[in-house]
Amino acid sequence: MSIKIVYFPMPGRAEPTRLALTLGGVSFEDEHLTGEQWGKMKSEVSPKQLPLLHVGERVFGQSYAQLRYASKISKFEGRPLYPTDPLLALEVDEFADMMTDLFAPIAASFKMTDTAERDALRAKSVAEGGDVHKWLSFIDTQLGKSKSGFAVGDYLTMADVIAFCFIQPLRAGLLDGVPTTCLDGFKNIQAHRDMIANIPIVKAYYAGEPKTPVYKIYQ
Amino acid sequence: MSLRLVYFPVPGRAEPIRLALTLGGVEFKDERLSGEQWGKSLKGEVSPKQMPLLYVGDKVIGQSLALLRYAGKVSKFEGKPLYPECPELALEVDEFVDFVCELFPSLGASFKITDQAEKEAFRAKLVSEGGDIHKWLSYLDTLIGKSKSGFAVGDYITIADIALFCFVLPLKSGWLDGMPTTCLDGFKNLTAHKEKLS
Repeated sequence: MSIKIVYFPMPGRAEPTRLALTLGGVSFEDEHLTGEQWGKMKSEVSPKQLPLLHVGERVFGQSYAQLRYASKISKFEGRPLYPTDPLLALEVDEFADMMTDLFAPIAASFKMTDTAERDALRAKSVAEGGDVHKWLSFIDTQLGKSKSGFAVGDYLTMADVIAFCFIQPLRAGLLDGVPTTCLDGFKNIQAHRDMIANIPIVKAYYAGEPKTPVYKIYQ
Repeated sequence: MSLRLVYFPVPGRAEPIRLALTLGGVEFKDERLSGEQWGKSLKGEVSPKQMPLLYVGDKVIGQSLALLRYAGKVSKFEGKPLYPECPELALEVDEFVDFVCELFPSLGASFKITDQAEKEAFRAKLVSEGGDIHKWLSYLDTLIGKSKSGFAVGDYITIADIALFCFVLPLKSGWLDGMPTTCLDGFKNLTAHKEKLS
């Protein structure tokens, strides 16, 4: 069945799905839209938002649902990125949902009109004592406890893909108020990043001139 | 493996999990803690995790949707697991559940409003035409209306139906100040779905 991801030309909410399919050697079309093109398409698919996943004739929204599907059909070293064992899958799903909690303060900040207030809120959330910091610490600890180095279990799963794709952009300097040093204190998160970045398929995928400056964080 | 689900003594985010396991005839301990008990005991141990929590084997797992998906996998109704094994059907179920959850952010925001009158006006607006919740309820109503089987996804009951039943119905129960008990009246298909599941 043909697969197409439709999103903006940035990592954002589509990157984990793109990377999962790439790791699994599953071919897919990676369609990029400008804001204007999305503006025209929007009413057709409303209230669905980008990214959209086309699977055969059907179109799906909801990035985590898309990623889970991509992880089921993508095998790395013989194993699907989404475990078939329900309990292991539960741990992977829990990890994915923790990422939503981690980003909640930042996601909420986009609605704020007072930019000074917004930037101060963001800075506070990534500093010690802040809500984002709390979850980063928890994940850093979990990664530190892992014997295999993987986020869940003993081999690469959707959880590792999510951690790699979603956490790194925090330090890209794209979010006003969030300093590029915000991940410096988290040694295990950075070690995990390096481990994933050095997987040959991942390295090849991000090699060369970064598509946009933010993609440097994955190299 | 023994299952122990821990939550407050309300439906809230645990009800779909309780219902899924019950439909599947899966035994579980349905432990309910008061806010005080939660604060005094578990909270510090599992922080930053929140309830509902599932104790399974030697693990403690949080995140209500992850738990619901797990419950769907281990619970069978009329021979079929409540979470489909077919990846494409599961994708549709996951997407539907995530649509239902789009209702939460604006509801969550309403709890933070301290002025009672302002809070009630905010909520009333959410469920009137043009409001965020109204938009998603309309969409869900349309999806159910298109279903030949009457089930949210596919031809048999899944966690998508359970999420809809458990998360949407409480909106009209009157427990949320300012949320009119008539808020679901315009949605024929959602009402029909509720009757079907009841």
